[in-house]
This record gives sequence, C-alpha cells and structure tokens, in this order.
Amino acid sequence: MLSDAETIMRKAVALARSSKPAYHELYDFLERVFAAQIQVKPRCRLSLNPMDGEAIKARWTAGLPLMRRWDFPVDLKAAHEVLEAVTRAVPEHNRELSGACSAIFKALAQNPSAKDAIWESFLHHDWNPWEEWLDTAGVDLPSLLYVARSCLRPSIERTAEERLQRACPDDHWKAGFCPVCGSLPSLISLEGEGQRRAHCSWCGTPWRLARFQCPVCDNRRHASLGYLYAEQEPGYRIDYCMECRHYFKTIDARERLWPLWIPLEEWTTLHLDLVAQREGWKTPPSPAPAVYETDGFAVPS
Amino acid sequence: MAGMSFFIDTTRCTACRGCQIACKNWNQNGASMTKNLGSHQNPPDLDANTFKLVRFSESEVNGKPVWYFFADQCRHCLEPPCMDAIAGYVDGGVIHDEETGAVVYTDKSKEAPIDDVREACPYDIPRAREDGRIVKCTMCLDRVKNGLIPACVKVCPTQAMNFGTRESMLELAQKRLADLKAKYPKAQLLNPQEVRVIYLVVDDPTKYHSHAVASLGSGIDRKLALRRLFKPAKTMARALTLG
Ligand code: SF4
Ligand code: SF4
Repeated sequence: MLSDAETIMRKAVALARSSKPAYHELYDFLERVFAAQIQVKPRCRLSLNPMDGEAIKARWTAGLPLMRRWDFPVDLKAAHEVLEAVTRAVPEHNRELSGACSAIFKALAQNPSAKDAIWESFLHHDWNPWEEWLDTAGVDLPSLLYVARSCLRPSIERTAEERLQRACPDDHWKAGFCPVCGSLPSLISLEGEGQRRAHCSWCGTPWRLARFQCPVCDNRRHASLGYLYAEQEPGYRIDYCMECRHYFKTIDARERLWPLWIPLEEWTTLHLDLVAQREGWKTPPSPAPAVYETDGFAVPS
Repeated sequence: MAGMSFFIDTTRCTACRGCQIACKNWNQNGASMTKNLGSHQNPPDLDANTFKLVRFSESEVNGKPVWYFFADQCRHCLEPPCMDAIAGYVDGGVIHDEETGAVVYTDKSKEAPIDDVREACPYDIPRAREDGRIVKCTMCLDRVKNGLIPACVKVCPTQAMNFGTRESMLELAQKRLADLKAKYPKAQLLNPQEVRVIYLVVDDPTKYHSHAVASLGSGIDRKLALRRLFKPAKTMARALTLG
C-alpha cells in the first residue's frame, strides 16, 4: 500500500513524463530518490533539542526563524538508507553523481567514528567542513551537495514539521524567509483564492507570502514587482523584483488537477531559470539564511 | 478505470458566462452569428463555435419569478450513443479516452451525417462545422492530460463548476445534494450513473432546459434503443460493401 505522499509523488512523476518529455532522463532517477525519502521519513529517529511552546512562539512573533540549519538533528541510519537508494538509482553514465556517492561512502567507511560529524557537516552552508573527511579531488561539488542533502532531507523535513506543529501559530509569518530555518523559497505556489505560498528550499516548510512581496528584499510596492509568463506553459510564471533584481518561479496550483510535488517541480522548471536569467534576473545566493547574523546567533568558526 | 467527472452545481451559478468565454478562448473558437431573442441567453443555442452555453430560463416559484441557469455542455456519457452513431459510418471518428473517459471527436467525424449523430445524443449536443467536422466539448483533454483542470472549471468564480476523479465528484455531488434537500425537496442529480457531467438542480429539470435529462423529450430513449439495435447491422453493411 502506497502512502499518500508516495501516491501523489508517483502521479506527479507519471504526469511529468508525458507532459514534460524534455526531462525524460531525470524521471527514473528522481522517482527512486523521492520514493526512498518518503519511505524513510516516518522511520526517522531524531533527538530534537527541547524548545518549549513559549520560546517557539516568542521567536515566531519576533519574526526569527526557529532553528539554524546546523542545529537540525540527523538520523544516521535514515541518511545511509537514502544514500544506498540514490546510489542504486544513479544512471549508469552519470559520473558526477556516482562520484559523489562513492566519495561519501568512502569517507563513512574510513572514518567510522566520525559518521555523525560527516553527515552533519553537510548541514552547513557557507564553508565546507566535509573536506576534513572527504576526498573531494575530482568530485563535482554541486552533485556532492545534492546527494548529501537528499540523504538528509527526511530528517530535516521531519524536524521542521515537528517544530512547526508545536509553533501552532495564530498569526501569519510575515517574512520572506522560512519560519523554521530562515532559508529562501525554492518555489512559490498560488492557491485557493489566490493566496501565495512559499516552499522552503532547505526544509520544505510552506508558509504564506503577501501577494506583493519580494522574499529577498521584502519590497512590497506593486509598481516594482512584475512577472514573466509564457502562453505555451499555462500555470507557470516567473516573479521578479525590480529593486533587488531577484526572481522566483511560481506555479499556479489553482489550475492543477493533482497536488504538486514540489521537489519534482524544482527540477522540471529548470528551463524557466534559463528564461529568467536570460532576461537579466538572478537567483538569490543560496543557501542564504542571512537572517542568522542579525539574530545574534553565533556563526560557527 | 473510473476516470474523471464534472460536478456542476447550478445553485451556485450566477450566469456570469465566464465558463462559456473561457471555453471559446481555450479552444480558439471564433465568434458565432447571434440574434437577440429577448433572452440573456447568447448565442441562442450551442453551435460549432460554442461548446458550452449558459442557458437562461425564466420560471415561477410560489408566484414569484425565478431565473434558472444551466451551463450546458457534452456530458461525456459513460456509454456514449453518439459514438455508436459515428462508428456506424466511419472508424476512428471518436476517441473514448480510457484514462479520463472523455469522448472526443476526430476530423474523421465529418464522414458521419450530423443529423444522425445529433439525434443519437440524448442531450442534443453535437454540432457540425462548415467542412462537416462534428464538434463539441472535449473535456479539455489537452489540458487534463497535462495535469490542468478544464478551462471552464478554472475560470468559475463561484465553484459551480468542479472537476476531478469520478469518485471525488460523486462524493461532492452527494454531499451537496444532502445539504440542499431540506430547503429544496425537488433537489436532484441528473443521470449521475450515466454521465460524467453531473448537474445538481433544485426544481423540475425541464424548467432549466428541455434536454437537461436524457429521459425527457420525445422518445429519445426509444430512439436510442433502436439505434443500438441497428448499429451492428449498419456496421455489417459497411463491412460487406468494403469487402
Ligand atoms: S471542458 Fe473544455 S471544451 Fe468542455 S466545456 Fe469546458 S472549456 Fe469547453
Ligand atoms: S452527451 Fe451527447 S455528444 Fe456527449 S458523449 Fe453523450 S451522446 Fe456524445
């Protein structure tokens, strides 16, 4: 019996196979990675720092994210299980991905006592602590980060869901960054009566955005916010901000027959990035929880 | 496979005609010649450029005038009689999509005479273009196959138009019917077991439109039954001529 999430994911992949054949090489791989993540997620055992309801509420009200990325706990077994699944799913000829998988395997095998530290090193964003254990010579860095973070994703999402459940906010989160981890959205969706919902690029948390709001610079003036739209692709657009010149991809979920599977959409909208960048808009430096610094969080040295 | 269905809740329809226009727009159907017959219904009937028409009917309830609105379109019958009629003349004139249940005519439909096809339809839906191609609502199959809801459903501001799996639409229809029954004892779903476009009305269906339900009108049922009987003979006759 498939879980609901798995049914939604498989339906989304099947649909993408027929409606977006340009990405055909991705689907087998992604479907297997997503399936592994979905199956592993409910089994994650995480030792989450206790944070009482009051503290959560106070941070929420102050507009401060609940955690820093490197404070997310990791279930080593779960991460390892996904790593095995990713390795099995890598297409034969993809040297970048298979090189990334074997580099992680090798590091874990050679440093059995540092397994936690190796996995946790990938929770960082602006330095490369994994290099202490990983031989990165000849390894494609984006592939390495993609594989490692795919393995951590079930632990991260579980933690974010748990935190958010306890935050139980009565009022909307008003910032353009994620209320749980402070990251920027990977995608935005339009839902219901036109509400705008951001989807965190790091922990998957969804949150409400204002109809006119740039997630990067919080510009809310409609005159300097715009969007690009292609008639051949109804349901997608590129929201941009003329102040900071950043853009975000937006999906109109109101046109959709089936629920969105955001991690898949991140891949099958890559052509929109090309369009946006050709028009001179840029992606925000990612990962970018700049908000940590203003919060007095100690940045690790 | 159970496929897809529409649920059209006429009690929510405000006759804004958004669906009618969205349908025209998505299908790139041009304008139709129309004339004012003293009703807001415009054009007066379905035509080769109008796959969806909001019908307006004035009626009387407890001595007060009321307007009934009926967003008419092909019902995508579970066993479409129009398909039998077209198949009697040409192969491949109709696609009955397995996944969704949509009934879609192809260009080959021009081999079939419109009068026969139109007569076969219990809801009087099919119309012919000038070149003979027979046309009607396609369930926006090009959108649905790409994971999008039909154009008419997308645009409806009051949720009168709904679209989804057959199971979910039947559930929604039953729930809405149960909610309305107390206030409107005549509330009913129209032919829910036979079609994929399930209408909810709160009064005698003929007050909405003469072809709102299949069982009404003059001997449509009998005509259908006869056509069913004759179909094998027709097909055989064709086979013989071809042979
Ligand atoms: S489903 Fe598409 S073709 Fe059919 S009535 Fe609606 S908009 Fe028109
Ligand atoms: S409503 Fe008429 S045109 Fe539509 S499928 Fe049924 S018989 Fe065919």
